[in-house]
Amino acid sequence: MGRYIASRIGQAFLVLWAAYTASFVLLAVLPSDPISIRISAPDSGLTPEDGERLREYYGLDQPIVAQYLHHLLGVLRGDFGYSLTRGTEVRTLIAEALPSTIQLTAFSLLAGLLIAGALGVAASYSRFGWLRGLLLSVPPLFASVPTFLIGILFLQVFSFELGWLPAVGDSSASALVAPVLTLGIAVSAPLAQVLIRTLDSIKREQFVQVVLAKGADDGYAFRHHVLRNSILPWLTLLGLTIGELIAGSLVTETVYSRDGIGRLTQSSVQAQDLPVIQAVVLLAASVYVLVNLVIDLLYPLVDPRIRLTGGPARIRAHKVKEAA
Amino acid sequence: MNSRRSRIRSVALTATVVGSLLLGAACGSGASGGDGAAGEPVYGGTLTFLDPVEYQAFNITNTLWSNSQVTPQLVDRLTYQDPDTGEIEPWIAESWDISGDGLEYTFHLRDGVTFSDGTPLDAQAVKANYDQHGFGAPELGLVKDAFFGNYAGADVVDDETVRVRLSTPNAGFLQVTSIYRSGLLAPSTLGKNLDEQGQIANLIGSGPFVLESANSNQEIVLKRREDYDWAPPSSEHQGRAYLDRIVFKVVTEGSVRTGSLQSGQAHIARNIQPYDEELLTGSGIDIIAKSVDGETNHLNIHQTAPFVADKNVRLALQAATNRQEIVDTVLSPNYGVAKSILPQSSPWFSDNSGALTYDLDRAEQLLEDAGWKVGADGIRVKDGQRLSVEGYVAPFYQPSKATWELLAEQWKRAGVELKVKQVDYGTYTKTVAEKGQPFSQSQLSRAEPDVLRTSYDSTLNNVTFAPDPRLDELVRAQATITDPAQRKAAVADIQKYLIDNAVVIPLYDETQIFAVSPTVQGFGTDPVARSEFYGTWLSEN
Repeated sequence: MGRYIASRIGQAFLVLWAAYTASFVLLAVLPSDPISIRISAPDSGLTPEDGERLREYYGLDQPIVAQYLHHLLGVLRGDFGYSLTRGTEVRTLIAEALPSTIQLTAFSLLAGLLIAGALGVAASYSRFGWLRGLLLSVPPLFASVPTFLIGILFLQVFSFELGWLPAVGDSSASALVAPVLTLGIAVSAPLAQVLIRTLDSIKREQFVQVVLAKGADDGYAFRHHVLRNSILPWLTLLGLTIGELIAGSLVTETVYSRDGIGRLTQSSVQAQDLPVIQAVVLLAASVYVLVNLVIDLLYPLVDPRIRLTGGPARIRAHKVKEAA
Repeated sequence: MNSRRSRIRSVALTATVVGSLLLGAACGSGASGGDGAAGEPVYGGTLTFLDPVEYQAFNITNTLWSNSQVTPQLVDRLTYQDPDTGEIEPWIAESWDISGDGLEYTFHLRDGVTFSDGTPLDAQAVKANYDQHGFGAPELGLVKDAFFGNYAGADVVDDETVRVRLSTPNAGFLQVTSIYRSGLLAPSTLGKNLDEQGQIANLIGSGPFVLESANSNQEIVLKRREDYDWAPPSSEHQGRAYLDRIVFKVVTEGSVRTGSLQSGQAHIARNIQPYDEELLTGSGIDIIAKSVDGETNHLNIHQTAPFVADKNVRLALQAATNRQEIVDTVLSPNYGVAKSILPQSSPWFSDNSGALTYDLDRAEQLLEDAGWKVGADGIRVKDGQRLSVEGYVAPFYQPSKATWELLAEQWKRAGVELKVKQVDYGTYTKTVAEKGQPFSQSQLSRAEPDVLRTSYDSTLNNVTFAPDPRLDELVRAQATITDPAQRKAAVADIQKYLIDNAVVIPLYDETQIFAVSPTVQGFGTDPVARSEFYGTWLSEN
């Protein structure tokens, strides 16, 4: 176990370095640079000579490899530098934006799990065919409606018309409701689809049929046998959901005018604000790596038949059962 | 034209409409219109202002539209420019003398003015400010300010007197001292470097408001400075400001800005889409349109590009451009139809509408004369080359895409193919700067005709890429003339030259649209549509 974790942490650093380097290269090959963007606005009052001076000031006139090493060393020391458009330290920007995003994504994940869980169980155990059909059509609907549209509709109905919720996000709890539901709905769709399929297939498994044949009711079988076995695919999917949450927070934060990492990313990409983008990439990659490590460590706890060896564990529950 | 209008409308609006239909109600809780029934100004209240553009570094010279709605509230200037007449009036400088050769400006400062950190705004402070504009501060990463191009230094005569020296006469200099970007900063701010000066918390001025809090450059809260007592003498209101607080928030989504205003969750929203204007007025919101002084929104023609080096081609494009249709189709009646390179609201405007009339026959005749014959596909051809040009959607102007698309339709009638291209911000800056590109959409805002020298002097912005000795002579001459009537004639000559030679293709008078709740009274802007909240108050708070 200890060796497994050590090797995974080693891999994690490799992934982070790769993400950092890849994003640096991508930004370096873009046709423009942050200073050109800054001086290009007709109203900026800056001349190309001013641009040269600014490039020198920010070290952007150095060879690309020197810039890369300089930034990388800075990052290793925990120094992410200054934003090129905001004049603020990148650390400060991230520290200001992060709490709001953590709040949003954590509650959205919870909301997504609840919505998906409710949909999945209700559809799987529905006694009415028409109701099941209706419920089955909800996840594809959620998956296909853009987050953006859901957000605008929520605002229109609950804020502008009914006046229940504030539209331009303040920090109150009620301002969190609509964004959380918006993002929650977006992430619930794949979770619900997978849950419904897993529940349906596990219910048909022989061991469940045996339990039912012995006289247990649906509720008992669900709680003691079906539920635990249907969690593994969910866990796997959860790792991917984290990525979706990060991407979804960009749209959600924009629509609801909330502070946060998503919005910071969007405006920084537009201005090619290199230090900020690099820091956000590292942050997102770290979260992704960490969450997937935790999920892999959880597998053996959920299903004792799984043993962790070298690489990431990615085993679907019924596959294990077939092997067993 | 209906299909065009609906194409312009975004998904966001569709969503708004869908939302409205779902509820069967068309508008939000409408505030009652309070026209004229404002009464006596009252103190107190918090005003919420929504802006679509993310705030960037708050360096005083940053002219970004969103930033420059905030900055003017924090800083005072030596002089004040009347937004209606363009006259320069006293402010922190009670009076000034200009030497006969136009090279020395001696300002006599008001006594007792302090920055919000308690330090005095005296002659030494003014010198420190102007030196940083005029000379830059390389060790701090600060570049010279183009507006102080011929600054030669300043002398502290005594605590309340400062003498500013120029190397060449510049009739536009006095106006420079009135612009928000020449706002006077405390010496403690000036000692900071480029990055530090960019943080709004370090922007210490002597203005009627001071910073209360700022979050991630997304929300900025200003509070009133209680001991403020040095408003421009011409201001009706004196002493402290009326409002307790101003909350500036970035709300990028247009439908959210309008919805927030309609439902009473905000007081002012900047940058309203032309098609939302009627929707808002219909629900009791006031639309305040402020024409932006400076240049009209126009196309600069890069004469180094193929085809447009030929004056006849340029004149043909000028004649094929239907400016009334731009305002009718893409914009709203709140925008002025361009009649010169300067907007109609400018005190220096001279009417060139005769040369800007839409005349398709003339356009076709000019192209025929230049040897361009209509080809098989309706596009003109000469020496085997099709008359096909590219236009890039400018990311700085919200109606840019729709304007270009309309231009493409208009020019096609004359047999010119215009390919409209849209690229990201970064690519745009690289592409449009290329000499091979025929056009760049542009607009400099400054309430002073010297703005034309900034754009068209071949040693300054040189926007045509093709130095023109006659144009250089014209734009430089106006800067040396101190007599207003003579100067006005000189500025009229420049306007006529730019239009008659189709150096530029004016499109529309640049206008800022503010949606304002009827509870807001006394809201105004400076001549370039930057908000001024000193005299603003709320009739319900």
